[in-house]
Amino acid sequence: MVHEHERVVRMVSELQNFLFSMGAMEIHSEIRETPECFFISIKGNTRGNICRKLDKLRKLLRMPRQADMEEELWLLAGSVDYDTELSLVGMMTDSAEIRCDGEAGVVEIELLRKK
Amino acid sequence: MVKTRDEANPQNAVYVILAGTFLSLALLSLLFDTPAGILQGLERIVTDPDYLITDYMGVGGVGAAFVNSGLVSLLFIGLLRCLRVQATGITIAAIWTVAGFSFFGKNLLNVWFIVAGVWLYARYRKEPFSRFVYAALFGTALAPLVTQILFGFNLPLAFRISLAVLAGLSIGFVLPPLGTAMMRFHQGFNLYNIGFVSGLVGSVYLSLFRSYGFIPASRLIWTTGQNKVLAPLFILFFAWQFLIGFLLNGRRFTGLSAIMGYTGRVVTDFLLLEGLGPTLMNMALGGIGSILYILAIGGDINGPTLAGVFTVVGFSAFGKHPRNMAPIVAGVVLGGLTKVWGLSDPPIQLAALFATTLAPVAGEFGIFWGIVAGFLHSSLVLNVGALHGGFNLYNNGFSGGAVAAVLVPVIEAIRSGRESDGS
Repeated sequence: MVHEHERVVRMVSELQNFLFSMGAMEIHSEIRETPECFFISIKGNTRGNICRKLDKLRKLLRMPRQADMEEELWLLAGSVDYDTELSLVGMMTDSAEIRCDGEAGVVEIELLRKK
Repeated sequence: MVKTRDEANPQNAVYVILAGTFLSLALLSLLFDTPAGILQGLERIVTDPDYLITDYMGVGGVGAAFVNSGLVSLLFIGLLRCLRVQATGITIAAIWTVAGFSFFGKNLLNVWFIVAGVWLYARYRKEPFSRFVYAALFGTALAPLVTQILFGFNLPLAFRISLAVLAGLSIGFVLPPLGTAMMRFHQGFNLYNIGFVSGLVGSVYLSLFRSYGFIPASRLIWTTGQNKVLAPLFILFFAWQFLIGFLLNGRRFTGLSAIMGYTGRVVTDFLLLEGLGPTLMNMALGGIGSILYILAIGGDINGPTLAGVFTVVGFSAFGKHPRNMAPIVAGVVLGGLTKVWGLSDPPIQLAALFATTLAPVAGEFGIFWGIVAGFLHSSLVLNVGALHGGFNLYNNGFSGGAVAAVLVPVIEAIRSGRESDGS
């Protein structure tokens, strides 16, 4: 798959946009590449308890991997600050995990994308 | 959370419903014509020039047009199954769009050259064809160009065949990378992305043709007088579809109201987000609403308008719903009240149906901007066809891409200005 790194960068950008829209004041991103896959981890510190607002994110990231759709659409990810591309991020990943600590105001999103 | 392919999506049911729908369509042809008459009609459909606007019902008869639409769709459904493509909202949109345009422009012969070009591109990239298959399906928008070369040029047969193959393959080869790149141009606010790309590619090819002295004559084959038969038939067709969706959804409307809440901007896949039942009900509403609109303005149910209806139905699995389509259509109607043309003029009947490619503008920015988008589109679409000479069947996708690209940054600028003013 060509532009593999750019695709991953756009996925991260999309999630960063999401965390900003949720009021995050501090965001840490990490990408690890292995010969088989990419691990993406994003952590945002928010000003309040946003755990109840994450249902939509969970729903969108739960989308099954869709390599057939990704080819035409991946450039939309991370391009503007609308939230509908979160479903595209879901379609570009093989597994997703979301953790939220309401009291501490911390949201962690971990994605795995196989090559 | 590890995702599985079938977690959210009943694959077999989607394909069975699609295949059943288009098999029924092919069989319905027998209400209109004899098998012999249908065969003769199919021959005319395949060999006649079919750039915009060519109603296959006028070329080969209603029966042959139904068979052409049904069979082309079934062949593409078979192709998707062979490639093990997971059925999603865009699968439904692609098949219904192909089915619709097989009433005016796509036929059993001319679509395959472009599909083969996309396949070549996949081979060149050493990637599975399935990754580009949607570009292949939607890319058949330029199929009339192949027909024109094969049957419309006064050249030796061997030369025409070679040129048609070369044109089809080269169009298919360039569509996938262009489809990806051009998505950024309109930021996903034009649902017919490949329509926009095809408009650009068609313009390049037509310019080449014109350089060698080919000037396409304007064309309008538009059948009338079939509303009394076709309107009730398709309203029943979609009512049946609504019932299937209702039953699949456990005899509830749950999910349908959720669909109305989405903006519709790419990527909004109703099948994956809300499931098959609500998606089928939304599709049926789109179909019935489109037919009623055509009847209300005194329009004609025929091949081209059925293409519009089918495209609305298909994309009602991938972004369109009555709430985000209504302002766009209202914009076209407003144009009809103030501009020099009438709502029942053939190109404007089509513009109203296909303008809903801009439904995400209304979904994202509200009713006012939706009306503005429809109003602008109804003018632009009448002018961009000259660029590709009618060889791009998705003329409204071409126009819609331009409208979205111009309008969306302006709306965003106005919005952000208001926000910074605190108003």
